[in-house]
Amino acid sequence: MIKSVLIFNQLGKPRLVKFYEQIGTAAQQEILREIHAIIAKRPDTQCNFLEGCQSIGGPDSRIIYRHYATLYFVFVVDSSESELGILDLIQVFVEALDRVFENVCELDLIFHFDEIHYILMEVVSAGMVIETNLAEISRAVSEGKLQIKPASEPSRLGIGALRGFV
Amino acid sequence: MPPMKGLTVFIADLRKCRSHEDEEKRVNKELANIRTKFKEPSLNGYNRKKYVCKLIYMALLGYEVSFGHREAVDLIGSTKYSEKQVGYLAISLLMEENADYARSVVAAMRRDIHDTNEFNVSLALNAVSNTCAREIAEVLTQDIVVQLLSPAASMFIKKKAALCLLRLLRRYPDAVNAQQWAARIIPYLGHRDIGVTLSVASLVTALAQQFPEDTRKAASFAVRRLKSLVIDNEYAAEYTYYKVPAPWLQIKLLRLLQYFPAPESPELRSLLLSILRHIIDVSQDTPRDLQQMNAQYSILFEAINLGIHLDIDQGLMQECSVLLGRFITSREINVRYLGLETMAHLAAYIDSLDTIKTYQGVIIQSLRDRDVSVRRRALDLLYSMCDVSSAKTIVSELLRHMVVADFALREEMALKVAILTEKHATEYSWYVDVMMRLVSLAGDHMGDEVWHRIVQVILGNEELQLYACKIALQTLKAPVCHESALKVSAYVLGEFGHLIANAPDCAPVDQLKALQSKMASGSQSARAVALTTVAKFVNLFPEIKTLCLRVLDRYRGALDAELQQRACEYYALATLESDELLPTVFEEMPPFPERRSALMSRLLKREADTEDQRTWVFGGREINRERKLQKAGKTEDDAETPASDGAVQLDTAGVGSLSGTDEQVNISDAFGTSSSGQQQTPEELARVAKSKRHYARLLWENDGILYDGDEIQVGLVAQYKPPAGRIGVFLGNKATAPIYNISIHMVVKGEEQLAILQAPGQDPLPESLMPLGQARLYFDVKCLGVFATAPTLRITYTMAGSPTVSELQTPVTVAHFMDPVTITVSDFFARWKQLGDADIGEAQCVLKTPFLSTDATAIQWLRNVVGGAGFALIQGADSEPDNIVGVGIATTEAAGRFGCLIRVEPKPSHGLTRVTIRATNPIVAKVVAANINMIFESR
Repeated sequence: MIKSVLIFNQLGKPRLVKFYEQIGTAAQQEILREIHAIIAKRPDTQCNFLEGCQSIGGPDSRIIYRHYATLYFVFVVDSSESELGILDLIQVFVEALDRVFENVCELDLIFHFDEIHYILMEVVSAGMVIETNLAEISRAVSEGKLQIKPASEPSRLGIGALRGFV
Repeated sequence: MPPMKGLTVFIADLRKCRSHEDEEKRVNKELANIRTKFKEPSLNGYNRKKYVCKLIYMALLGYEVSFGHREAVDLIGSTKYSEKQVGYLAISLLMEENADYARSVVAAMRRDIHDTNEFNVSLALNAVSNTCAREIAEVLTQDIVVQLLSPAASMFIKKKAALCLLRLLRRYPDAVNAQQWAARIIPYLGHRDIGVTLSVASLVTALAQQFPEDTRKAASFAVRRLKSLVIDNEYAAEYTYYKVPAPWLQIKLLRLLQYFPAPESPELRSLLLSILRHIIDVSQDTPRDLQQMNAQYSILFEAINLGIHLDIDQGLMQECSVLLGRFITSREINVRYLGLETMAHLAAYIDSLDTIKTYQGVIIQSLRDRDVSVRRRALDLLYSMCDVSSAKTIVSELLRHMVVADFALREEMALKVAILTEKHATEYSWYVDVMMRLVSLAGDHMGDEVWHRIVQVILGNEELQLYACKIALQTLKAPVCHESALKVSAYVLGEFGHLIANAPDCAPVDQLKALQSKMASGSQSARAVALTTVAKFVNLFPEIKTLCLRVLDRYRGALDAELQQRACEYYALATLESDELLPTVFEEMPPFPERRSALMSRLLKREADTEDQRTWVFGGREINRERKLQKAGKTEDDAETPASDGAVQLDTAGVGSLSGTDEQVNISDAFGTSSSGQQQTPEELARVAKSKRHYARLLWENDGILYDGDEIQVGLVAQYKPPAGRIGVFLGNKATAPIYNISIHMVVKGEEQLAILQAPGQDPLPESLMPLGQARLYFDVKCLGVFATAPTLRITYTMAGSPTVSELQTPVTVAHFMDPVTITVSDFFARWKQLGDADIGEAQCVLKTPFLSTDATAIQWLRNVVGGAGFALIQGADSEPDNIVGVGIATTEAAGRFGCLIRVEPKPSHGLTRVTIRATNPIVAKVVAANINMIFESR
């Protein structure tokens, strides 16, 4: 199972912190720091898999990560997940973000931190991959947004509601 | 999400902060602001949403957010989707497991799950799968199952419902009644929508681990689904990922199948094999596109793992090892990494390691890879593939590598080297050399287990001791000596120093000097061990007593309390006037009892269970086999119901009926599946006869074996104080594999006159019993009245995954509650006549006793039997000297006491013996007669 999904930048600033187990905020930050410390010094030529650190799961868990521009996408998983499968899943997640935000960049993630969660929920649920079909993921997200419209939000926000619509 | 201005400003403010302190100040200011806003009664939904969003953002940055949950719950209840969405997000990120507001959250979730708008349903389900309050599991499980199974629900909802159930099942397995709905979920593995199948496959994987029996059908669904995907290419085009059809579903199904045994139906088997073959064939060419290669290989690695698990086609396995050999030399580092990992899996199962061994050089090379992740996998693989023939090379490579290895890796390496060396050592000198080198090289990086284990092994193997002493002394004489090496050497010399005392340069004085030279620089704990050795020298070499005493004396003033205490005590002991105590205290240590190596436990502990169970562990074949057995035991325990249809071996040996005197004792036996029990093989008959003999013996002797089978041995120890008694049942494991889930019960069938209770205040039965191990359980029995049927001892256990039930008739009869009573000869005859006249209870039988004429001791044996059965023999009562008469009184708690007289008249010339019993109760007479009958018959 996937224990955690983390996105942080090269400096270790968190952009998404999602744990699928009950863990306190302080412990979450500790894990994030620890993982950032290991990953940040690994050159891109090294492999995308690491053994879990002490604070999360110990050696039986795997840290699987990808590095995109300024951001690291990290999945912490237990031994029952396929490493390459998760690596592909990160790619799917990023492609989904890209569809929703059109050329996603770090700033999108910062100012739409809630939306990242909604997208992630369509990809991973309860620590398990739920959908890998990009069309289906972006449909779910954008139709979710459509729900907001009928509830008569102040009209000046209407354009924002359509932002990212494909 | 429409941007909220206040929120955007807040985020921008935080980004502008130059230092962490600035940021903290801004956050605290905002927290105070939000607190006051939340107190306003007129707070509208939009603002509530905005502030909750800000709280979520602060939590993301790592700030502890301790309020706002109420507002989040309010948002969930809102009719506006955007507010509901933020409310649920806050709950799923910030809610603690057993929050007091859980009830209101659950109520809102329930409302939304039944909403007509599927997006509201989806929000609620997403939140369920991200939170974990117990109430959710208790209240909502049924609603979610309905959503999953309802034909009206869309795919979008179904797949979420499946994962919600998975979440609840994992967190609160006891609250979701999974067995009620598990079977109905399984057909969804064949659902045409890949998203639904994928989620259901995850759920079924979890179910399969908990309820293997209820989910057995899932295997065939998974195989067929794989076939449609892999071979028939039936799938929606959007699920192709870089030209590969739905890789995640393929992986999931291949993984799911690893939780089941290989399918039994030949059709399914060949189908599965053809799928695996197809996957392997497709992967023969390396795709150019990196993403495509990833996807394709992810399936391939899982297929190999499944192939290893199924273990049905060695040809396929060999092919896999060739393929893996190609991968571990790949230029693509991820492939190299996974190749090594999968090969370690293969090495843990494959029959012949030959193919893998051809890559030994490459693998050793990988120990020096630039990437630490790859180095770790190489270590795991070397550990798994090591056998007797390659042990020397691998161990020496590991030792060589130890010096340059990462610190984080050294402890594990040291453990693995220690285990491999012990397991594969064929020469004593090699074991000692390697271990000494190991402690010298890696002493700082390993726990005490390693040096403790070395000492244990040396103590347990006499052949090792002489050589170990030589090396120990050599180690101490070397210029540098690691502290763990000092401990081992000191311990070994203290025990066995005398073995080398006559060799040149090894005299007691040399040994003491060498020890002293290293003692000064050792740590406190090393010096403590060395001090004990010095004290042992006093005993071992009286000729250097003065020197030793001098050392001890010096340490009497040591600053360290532990050292001081040891020195004082040893000194006092050595200077006692009497010489007796010292040799006793320092007598040679006995070998350690054989038990599971602490090293192994330590290594396995490192691989603790995660949420999904591992299907294998690193290491050789044996350890994986053992693990399988253990798992089988565990599963049985979870299911609580013994497996049906013939999986239980009913092992009924020696169930007899004791109700009639002349009745042949009935022994029914149903070994294995021969339930008819009519056609018994000679072997079975012999076994039955044997257990009958055991039973008969225990009728007149208190201690002995009751059952002696291939797997277990059962012994009884009984003590009677009529009307009570205590019976100890000893269960020994005779097989080569451990047994699990042991239970021992004594069951009284249809008798109210005998009470049996497990004796109080004893240790519970162990969870498992290693080969040659023994477990025991005591029962208190009480004879309330006269009873005719002996109780049954019911022993259940699991061995090699199959549960076994043994039912043994237990020799506890009313005759066991009989005390011998000595009366005069005249009294005897008076009673004998009296009882005969009253005709209350007489039993008589004529038994064939051909051994009387051939065995001179037979008469004495008869006397022993009658005496052992609880009678006092009356001497000289009968005119015939060989005749035996005896008297006993059976005591019951509620029904009073019953006198019993016996007369045994052997007729060696006819090979017959007449036995007459007269008692004040007819059942007592019959039971005693039946016992005597049985004893004679099975002599």
